[in-house]
Amino acid sequence: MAFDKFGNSGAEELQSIVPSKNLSDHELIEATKKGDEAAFAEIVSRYRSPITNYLYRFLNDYEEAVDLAQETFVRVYFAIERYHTDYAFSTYVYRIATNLAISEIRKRKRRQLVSLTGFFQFGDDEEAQDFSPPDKKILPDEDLIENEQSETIRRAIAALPEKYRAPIILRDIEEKTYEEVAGILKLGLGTTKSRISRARKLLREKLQNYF
Amino acid sequence: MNCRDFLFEFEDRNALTEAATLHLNNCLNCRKTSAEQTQVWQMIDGLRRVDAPKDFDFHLKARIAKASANDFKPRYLPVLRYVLPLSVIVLIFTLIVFNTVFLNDKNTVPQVAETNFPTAIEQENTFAQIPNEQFEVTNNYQNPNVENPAVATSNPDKQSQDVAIPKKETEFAAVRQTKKTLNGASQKSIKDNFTGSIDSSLTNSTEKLPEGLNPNQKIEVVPNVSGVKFFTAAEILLELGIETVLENGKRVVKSVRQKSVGETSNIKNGDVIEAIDGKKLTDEPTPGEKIEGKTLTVTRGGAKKEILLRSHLN
Repeated sequence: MAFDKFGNSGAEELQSIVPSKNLSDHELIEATKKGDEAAFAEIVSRYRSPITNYLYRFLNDYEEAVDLAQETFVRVYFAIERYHTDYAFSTYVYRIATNLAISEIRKRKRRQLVSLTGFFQFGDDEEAQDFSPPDKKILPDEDLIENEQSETIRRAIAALPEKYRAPIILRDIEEKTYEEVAGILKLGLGTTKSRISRARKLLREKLQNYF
Repeated sequence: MNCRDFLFEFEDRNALTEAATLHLNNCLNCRKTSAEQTQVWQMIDGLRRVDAPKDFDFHLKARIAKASANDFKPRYLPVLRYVLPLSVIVLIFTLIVFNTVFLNDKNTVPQVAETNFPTAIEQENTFAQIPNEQFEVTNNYQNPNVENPAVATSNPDKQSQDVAIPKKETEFAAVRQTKKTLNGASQKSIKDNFTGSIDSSLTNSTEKLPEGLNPNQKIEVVPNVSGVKFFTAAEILLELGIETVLENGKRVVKSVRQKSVGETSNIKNGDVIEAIDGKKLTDEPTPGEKIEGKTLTVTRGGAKKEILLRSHLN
């Protein structure tokens, strides 16, 4: 289908079949299925920043995060006919983003872009292999310049193994409930709580020198 | 409340219960842990949220315009999602049925059964159960035009009923042969009535009952439990061609069948059978699949010896 209205503003957005701002996610999805491009634009505007932030914390690489966030919405757009409203749309979109991020991390490992040297060291070999190097690039927005404390916690989170990183970002940064985290990661509630608890413990251990 | 429960409650980030507060006041480790975790949360809360760049929508629009819906379709045919598991289930089911029907039957046959003797008891039982009248009617049907044409013409129902009987020709042939050896004159008249395949069955049959074997002896048939055949000690020995009698609690060889495993293995009359495959003889029926029939332990002339069973076919 054409994608004329998406990304535009002003008068063209007003051509939407229904006023998108007041609709729920599911209503927007249904409208998008019927060809309302403005409805999809509204979905993107609601989730682009949360997804970008989530992926940035996950990958510790802003450009990669933006790229994968766009890829997430491309997939949502082309798979919208297969989406069922049995569960929340936010769960659906975060799940796609998580899968893309995990795939990206595995690609990095295959390309041997992962360095085992870093600021944080682990006693456990398996965890050490999951270490991701911190992003040294300067973020495009000056507001993103973080103080030392923020930099420390950012790098500590990025150094967590991926199976602990996703749950703690979703719970403590994105402030999802345990049930939502379990739904996004397709885990049981008990497993989710256990992983979040373990992730917090790992974070405390990494930050011991800071306390 | 223990430390683990306290941590679970503390990490929910809700107000602590009275029990959790009490534990926190009394547990130094939990106080330290909770203080550190609170500091971690403060650091996380201090993280600035990262927003999407301003040209996010523009690039997204370009990517969607460039991409094709075919790029995101499932890479496999949806039908395979159901067909493959179904095929695997059907294959497993077929293997189970094949294993149950064919392989189990082979396992229940003892190795010595290759001596062509396993039907002797069945023949005897079949013979004992067939009344003479039925025997005669069958004979009449085999040659109706010669001996009793009236039976064939006046009683077509009987004829159609007897059509199924030839399937049992071989079985009856053995029975008749047995009757020949026992009933003398009556058997002679029966043989005169037979023609064709029945006659050839009679003349080719070489089965003979061992001497002293009572044709009217009723052998207790052990119920067949879930497809497994059970054999008593006497039956096992009969399968080997060895007829025994109990004397003072000992199983003594009374006769040995010709061309049987017993004869080939040089079992003698008067031998006392002590054990089969090293297992002492008991009156308890044994499942057929557990019988190997490799060795017999016998006492001959006061000396105990172990005899390796050999089939004449080998």
